[in-house]
Amino acid sequence: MYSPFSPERRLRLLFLIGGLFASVATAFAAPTTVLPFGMETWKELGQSSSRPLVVVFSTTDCGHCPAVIDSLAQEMRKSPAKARLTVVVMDGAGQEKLLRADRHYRHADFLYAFDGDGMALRFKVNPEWRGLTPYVALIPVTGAPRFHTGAPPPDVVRGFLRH
Amino acid sequence: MAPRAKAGLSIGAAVSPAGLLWIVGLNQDGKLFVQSSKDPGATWNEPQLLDIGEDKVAADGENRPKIAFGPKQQVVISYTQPLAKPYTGEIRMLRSEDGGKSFSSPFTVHRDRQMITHRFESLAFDRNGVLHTVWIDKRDQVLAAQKAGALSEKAAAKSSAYAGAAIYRNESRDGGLSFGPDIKLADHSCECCRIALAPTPEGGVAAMWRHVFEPNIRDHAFAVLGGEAKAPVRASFDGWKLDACPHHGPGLAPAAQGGYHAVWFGDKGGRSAVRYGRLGADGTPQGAVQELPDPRAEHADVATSGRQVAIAWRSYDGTQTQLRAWVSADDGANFVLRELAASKEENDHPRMLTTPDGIRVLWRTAKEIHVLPILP
Repeated sequence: MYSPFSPERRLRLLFLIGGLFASVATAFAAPTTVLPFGMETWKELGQSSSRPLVVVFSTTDCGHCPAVIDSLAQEMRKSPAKARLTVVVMDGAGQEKLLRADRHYRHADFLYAFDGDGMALRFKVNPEWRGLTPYVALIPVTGAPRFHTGAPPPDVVRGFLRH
Repeated sequence: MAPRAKAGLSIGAAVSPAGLLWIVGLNQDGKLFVQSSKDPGATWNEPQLLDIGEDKVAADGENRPKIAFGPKQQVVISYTQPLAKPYTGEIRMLRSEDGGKSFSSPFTVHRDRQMITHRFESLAFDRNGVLHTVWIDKRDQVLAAQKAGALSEKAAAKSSAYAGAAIYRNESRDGGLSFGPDIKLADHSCECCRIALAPTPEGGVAAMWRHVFEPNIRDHAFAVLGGEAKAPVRASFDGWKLDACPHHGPGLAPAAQGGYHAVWFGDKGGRSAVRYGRLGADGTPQGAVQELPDPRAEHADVATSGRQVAIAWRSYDGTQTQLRAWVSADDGANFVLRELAASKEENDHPRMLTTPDGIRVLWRTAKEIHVLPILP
């Protein structure tokens, strides 16, 4: 006899609910670790990745940054390139707990808090960067990074992810 | 041990009615302090730590504590306290009625208590002793998003129903003991840049800030605070269209011949630079705009003393930060470039101050606070 509460159906239902929770948790999970970003980290980022890297430099009061992070993450999800999204919060040192809880960074594969001389870091990343955020670096596996103030045009991001 | 928020280097400064130079900032332990000097910065008295309870203080870059002196021994200190949610803050203040010997506990300056942006405050007493506080406020953005049907906070934050933030202000006629209502000065300001204030010839206070002009141009606006409300006027015409945070507010100082001297950062035709220009008494641009003679200039400030005009800025060359000034003895008709200092340490934006002994530049580096005279 069919019963909506048979053990088999209950088990299926549990799996279904569990799966749903897991999907939602994955979609909204912020990185669990906030890594320190020092003066050498930028150089290491460029050297160590075997996958294309999208780096967004942000600040805790950058109102434009969440939308840019979201749109980049969206493009990256659509692409088979398996690029990684890294967010560096320029004024994030000492605020790691807040950053971990901040849903704006949930799409980042890696979340960093910069601690040091911001002006020196800007010069190291790109002397042309005048401190505006979001500042986006598209770093290919080989070759020089490309930089954008604000959101890079979608076709530029797609082109980057294709190569 | 939980990580401690980095103690920012940003300081505020003012000259007391007795002629002492006062500064307010965070010490290396992240504690708010005030300190004064009788011999502009050559020697300092012992720093006085201020009891602000559990408040956090934004003291980095465009955010900095401020200090201002009023009549009757009144002293006020303000700062932005970041709150638990991202992009939120309150403008907090401490007040003294004994010339800075003792201070009250901190209190919130604005009446709106939503957990939203109230940040980047500036404050000044006018000639009549009225304390003006001006800040960036996002209550209208939240309201517009709600009206547009944004049901969630996330949707409200991403809503395009309202460009930027707003400039709000209030007045206190008793040195910060009580405040009038929050008054909107302008819709659609930029969200992350300091507001510049300067005295008007009539004894009032003028403000200049980065604004979001239609359709999405982040140039500057000017308004005189108080009195009969006048619509803000456009003070710069770089035509900088972008969706990003410059973190780079303007500087403003009165001109001897009337009007104002202004400095600001912007991008004009693809060329990013700090620019200098004259404004009329109503804030409209007058004459030619000039780029500062340093392509890497940033966070410039301006001060005047009679016909002397001084603009100071910092500039990083990959090895060290240079502190430079552009100085005019003829109310801005001609300028000469001066090299003031250099440092390899982390450093704050330069602050200009007009003192009874002339213009001074204050520049805090990781190890010291430079107070440098600008010679005529």
